[in-house]
Amino acid sequence: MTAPLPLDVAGGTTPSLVVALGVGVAFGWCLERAGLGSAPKLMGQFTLRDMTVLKVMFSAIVTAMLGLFWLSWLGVVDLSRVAVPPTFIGPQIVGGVVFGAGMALAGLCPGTSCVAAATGRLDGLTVAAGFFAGVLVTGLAVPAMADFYESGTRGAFALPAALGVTQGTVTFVVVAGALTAFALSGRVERAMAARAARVRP
Amino acid sequence: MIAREDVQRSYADPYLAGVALGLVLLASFVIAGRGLGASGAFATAAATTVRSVAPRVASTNSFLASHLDAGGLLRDWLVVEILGVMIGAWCSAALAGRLGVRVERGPHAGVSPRLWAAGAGGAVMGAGAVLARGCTSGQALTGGALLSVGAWLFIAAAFGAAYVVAYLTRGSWT
Amino acid sequence: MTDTRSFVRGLGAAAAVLGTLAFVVGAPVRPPHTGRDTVVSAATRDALDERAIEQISASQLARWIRDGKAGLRVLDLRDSSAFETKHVPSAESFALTGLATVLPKPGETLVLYSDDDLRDAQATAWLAGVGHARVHVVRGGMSAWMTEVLSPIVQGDSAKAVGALSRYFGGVPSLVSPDADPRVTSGARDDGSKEVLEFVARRGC
Repeated sequence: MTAPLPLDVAGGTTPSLVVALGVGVAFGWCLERAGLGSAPKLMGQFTLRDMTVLKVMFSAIVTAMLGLFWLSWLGVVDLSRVAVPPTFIGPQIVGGVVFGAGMALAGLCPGTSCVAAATGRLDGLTVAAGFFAGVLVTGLAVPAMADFYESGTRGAFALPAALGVTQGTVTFVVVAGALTAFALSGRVERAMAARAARVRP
Repeated sequence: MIAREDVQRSYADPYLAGVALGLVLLASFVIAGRGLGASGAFATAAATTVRSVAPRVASTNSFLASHLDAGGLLRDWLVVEILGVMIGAWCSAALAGRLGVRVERGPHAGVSPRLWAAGAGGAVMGAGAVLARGCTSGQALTGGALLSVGAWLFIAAAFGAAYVVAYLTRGSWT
Repeated sequence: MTDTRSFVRGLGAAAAVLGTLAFVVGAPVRPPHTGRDTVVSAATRDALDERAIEQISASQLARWIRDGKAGLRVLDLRDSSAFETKHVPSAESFALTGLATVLPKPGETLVLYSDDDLRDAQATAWLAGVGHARVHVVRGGMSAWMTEVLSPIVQGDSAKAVGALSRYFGGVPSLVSPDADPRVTSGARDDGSKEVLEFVARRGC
């Protein structure tokens, strides 16, 4: 039998929910350990003083991407049965800009706001409440902007198909980009620390 | 630089934490055939709330209807996953001595402005996440690892906008 | 601390190696093996059970070629000598192991044919695994092309269309099965086929 297991995730079966809980606990543990439940630490990424977000996110993306590639190559995982989030070009660019602006204001993203709230941070709780309200109000407004909301739909659309290169090539480029960014991030942190020391001796 | 608050243990190495997070994401792909998420849980909670107040609105709105779970809130994969996130985060913080009721903010921001920014920022993120069909977890991490075109566009757009807004509001964080 | 640092460096080196190897192998699927006695892998069999292969008829492929369907690419999976003898117009000859060079392109539709269901199945599973969104297999392969397109039996309302499609590819439509009525088919070459169709129309079927 090949993975993923036939758990009927959409049907909400008890085994699938046990997996959900286990995955969630491990996810929350990792985010808290990395310090991403703390808004000042997360914002360090956007003031270039602490590149933890970049290091954590891209290490995670590279790990999961390489793992999927090689497990599929070994015949363990059937990639066609792993759900790929659908692409909607325009809405995802505009949504990304709006989301990023909100994230810089809030100091946390939705997942890390839950981490912050669970560890007693009241700012995290407030971000989560605001996010809930934002999703609810915007969700109610979806029919009013249905044309834009559904525009640019491409279904499960992966970079190899979009660029006309192999999945191995895209995988290699992402790994190379991540390793380069990791190497540069240390320099940026040191340069910003030196500048801060000059400005405020 | 080493330990700002001596009662707390310092955070884990970001690369180790990232690789561990990647292995969790990989396990989710391999076992459940889907990745992580956060905003989807909020969307299901919002849709369930609307249904309890105005069932007709919830069932005729395409976005809300698609996030209603037939089995109820606690039978939804992402809602259970997010409850797990909170449990895992609490355990990790408790073991590291990092639990504590407080408002985390930059050195030059008061409590009240920080909470207003948190609420407003959260709401703006909510609008973005609805349009983008996901957030940093469901789009950036999950879609990024699956090499989804939309996910990488989202990552570029979100980081770009965050740098601009963080520059404009840099006084409150540094 | 130094332990962590060197461990992290090791992880980075491992990522670099795995990423480079990924570039070398190209696709996250091992190339299908050739040869009659190859056993279909469990993954392939599962994939085939769950996603029934998108089969199309030979005449559907003929209509796509005639109508210049955008993004159409036809792959002949038979051996090259069979390809040299006869093949579907516009088809490219590929061995199973050569499929690694067929890269996914947006908006492309791949149509495969051979005379071997197993080979079609392996190729489809492989191409879908590499990220091709639309892969079709010609039901019945090359022999279906011969009977359905090049020498179809025309009858009923579709007679005119089928005959025209066949003649577009230089085929010889016949009114009834050739062995059943040699009288009709004997005059049915090229210009004669028009008479056949008019004959069909006169008879009012």
